[in-house]
Amino acid sequence: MATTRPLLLALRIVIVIVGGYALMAGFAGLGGMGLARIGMAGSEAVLLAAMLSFPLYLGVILWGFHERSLRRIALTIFGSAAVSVAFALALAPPAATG
Amino acid sequence: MEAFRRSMSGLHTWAGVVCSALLFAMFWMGTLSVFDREIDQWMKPQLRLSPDVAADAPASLDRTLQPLLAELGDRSALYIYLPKEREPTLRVGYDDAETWTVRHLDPATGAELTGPDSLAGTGFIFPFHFSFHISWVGLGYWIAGFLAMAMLALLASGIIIHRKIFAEFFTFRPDRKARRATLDLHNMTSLVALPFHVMLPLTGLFIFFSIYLPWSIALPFGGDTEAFFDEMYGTKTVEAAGETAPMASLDTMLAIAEARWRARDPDGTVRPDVIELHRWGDANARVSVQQVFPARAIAMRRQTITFDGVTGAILSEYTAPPVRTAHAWLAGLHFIQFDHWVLRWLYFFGGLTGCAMIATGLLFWLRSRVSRRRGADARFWAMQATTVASVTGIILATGAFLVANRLLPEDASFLGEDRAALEVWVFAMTWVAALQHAVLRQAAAWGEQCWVIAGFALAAACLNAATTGDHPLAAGAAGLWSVASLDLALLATAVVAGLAARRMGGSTSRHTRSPTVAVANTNPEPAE
Amino acid sequence: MISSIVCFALALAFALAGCAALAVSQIRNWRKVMGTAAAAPKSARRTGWALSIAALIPCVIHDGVAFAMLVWPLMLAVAALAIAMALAYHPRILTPIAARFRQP
Repeated sequence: MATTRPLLLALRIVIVIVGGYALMAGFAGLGGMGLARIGMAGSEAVLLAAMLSFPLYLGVILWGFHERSLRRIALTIFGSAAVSVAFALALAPPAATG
Repeated sequence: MEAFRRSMSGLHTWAGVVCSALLFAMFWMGTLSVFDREIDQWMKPQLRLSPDVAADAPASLDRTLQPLLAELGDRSALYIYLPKEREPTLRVGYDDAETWTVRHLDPATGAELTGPDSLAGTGFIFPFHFSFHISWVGLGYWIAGFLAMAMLALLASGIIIHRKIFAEFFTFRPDRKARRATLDLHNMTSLVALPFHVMLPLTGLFIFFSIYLPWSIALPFGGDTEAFFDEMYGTKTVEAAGETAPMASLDTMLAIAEARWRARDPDGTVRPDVIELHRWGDANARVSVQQVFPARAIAMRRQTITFDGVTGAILSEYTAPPVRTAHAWLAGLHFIQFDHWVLRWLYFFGGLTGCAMIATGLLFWLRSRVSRRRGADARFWAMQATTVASVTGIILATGAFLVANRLLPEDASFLGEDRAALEVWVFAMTWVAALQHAVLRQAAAWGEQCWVIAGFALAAACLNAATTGDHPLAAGAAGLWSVASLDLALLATAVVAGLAARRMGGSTSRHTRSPTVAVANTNPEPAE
Repeated sequence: MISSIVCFALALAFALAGCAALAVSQIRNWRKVMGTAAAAPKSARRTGWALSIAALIPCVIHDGVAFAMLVWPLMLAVAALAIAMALAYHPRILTPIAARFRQP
């Protein structure tokens, strides 16, 4: 393990698991919206993006427990999550009222 | 690469130690779920109809269902499950004040099949596998999802750690020290069925994608999840018109649907299996005839034809688009509801291999802790007890579940819990008792719990013969192959567990005084 | 029914033979089975792969490619475990198979 101190390990676990999940959701949202925008049916688009987001999460987990620098992990994971969520929201149609 | 191996080794160990107990439970229940319908027939004798009944031309659906439909009326959704080889009854499912209720009918006579209530395979074992029966805020699904990701991480890190994958394929050295032999077995059970082990958690995650990504899937629909599901499944929610109307013939609709599908796929096997009734009896009634689990295809639910309930005319036809078809194929790999007995048994075998993989992984970690001169501290005792309870403990709790099913009277009730719930209580309390036993007896508990497993398995088979008369010979003669096979499997389990217990009993009895030595010298194998 | 039994029995037979050949092609196992210190012949490995892949054929004949791609890997898993157990507890079972590859 890159660190043996329990607190840092706990922090790493939170960053990887929670941040990774946020990134997965953001990727699925952005991917789905992107595909929908270029013509795929909505349900098809999000389904494809959703399925691809699981191997992505696995990759994040493996990298997150290998990379030494906690700061780099946090910035990369949370940063990408924030960016993808923001872009996904920007592309999405306004919320339905009914 | 070395640094990567080191970090992945750490991840593998930590994820394994934290998750293996629950992972074993998931894999064990999942393996049993391969035969959940067979377990249903064993635990609910009123459902023991010979599959030949299903094979004969079924009596008219209209006539068979008429009394039940008259009683249930215009619910928003009623599901009719047509008889199949593995489930020869006509099943009707619906939500009754938020509780999913299931009624079984004899497909030939229409008589309702009542008897002692039990959750059995489809009601207890199968849902345990994907939700641990924790329904509070859907937490059970999230735990299952977390464990599935952990499983994928464990498999990936496990592969990365290994240097010589091919060389380890056939390597099992029981003559060497117990720790080496355990690692050999762990590597081998992981490698020989590796695609299988990877495929299951991945497809499991795909199946529940809508639970894990609710925000993402609703985005293109402006946050409206209902709209997403309607487009995905080709359904539309139906509002009641408020006025009753005579309903068209279900038999005719079924025949039309079959003819259409057969025309499109002349060489294939057409087998409609689900009929959804929406607002039956109302002027706005809709009937959807579906092939959810095709007999000879892997992909699920790709075809639905919706009829108007009053006129019987076709309103819409849905065939899955490409991504949905791919998803249905992947989900079908996990659900395995197609007709293929050899493959079904192979899946069962693969599942047991996965259980062995998890159990040997835990055992190896335990042995490593002791041999590394860490000694046997409180943490070790706790971990050893947890390991025993997670492996032999849950297996023997399942045995107790089956025995309780045969012993509890039909009208059993205790402290407000009905018969089905009492069976689950027996399971839970037996599991807890196994944990307590493991805390007290430590390494010796392996062998002792194997004896209990053997006892329960034998008792269950004997009790089935005693309480229902369907011992393997009689069941075979009556065409009840599922019951006969389950009894034979129980007897085989009793033999294997007994042999395992004998092997363990010899080496542990001398060492129960000195737990450290006992662990270092025993060589317990998982019971299955 | 008979054709099913024949197809899957054939597939299992090929898988067992293939795994046995692959197993004895590994030096450690070759020495265990044959009791000599010689190297394992390459032909054992080639034959092992060929037989293991050949096990796919009866599966495809019976069910088509889609189901065969599910049945075949699991058949190989069964065979691999069986051979490994044989190697561990009764290595001499594999001697006749290994003998076929022995270089004169």
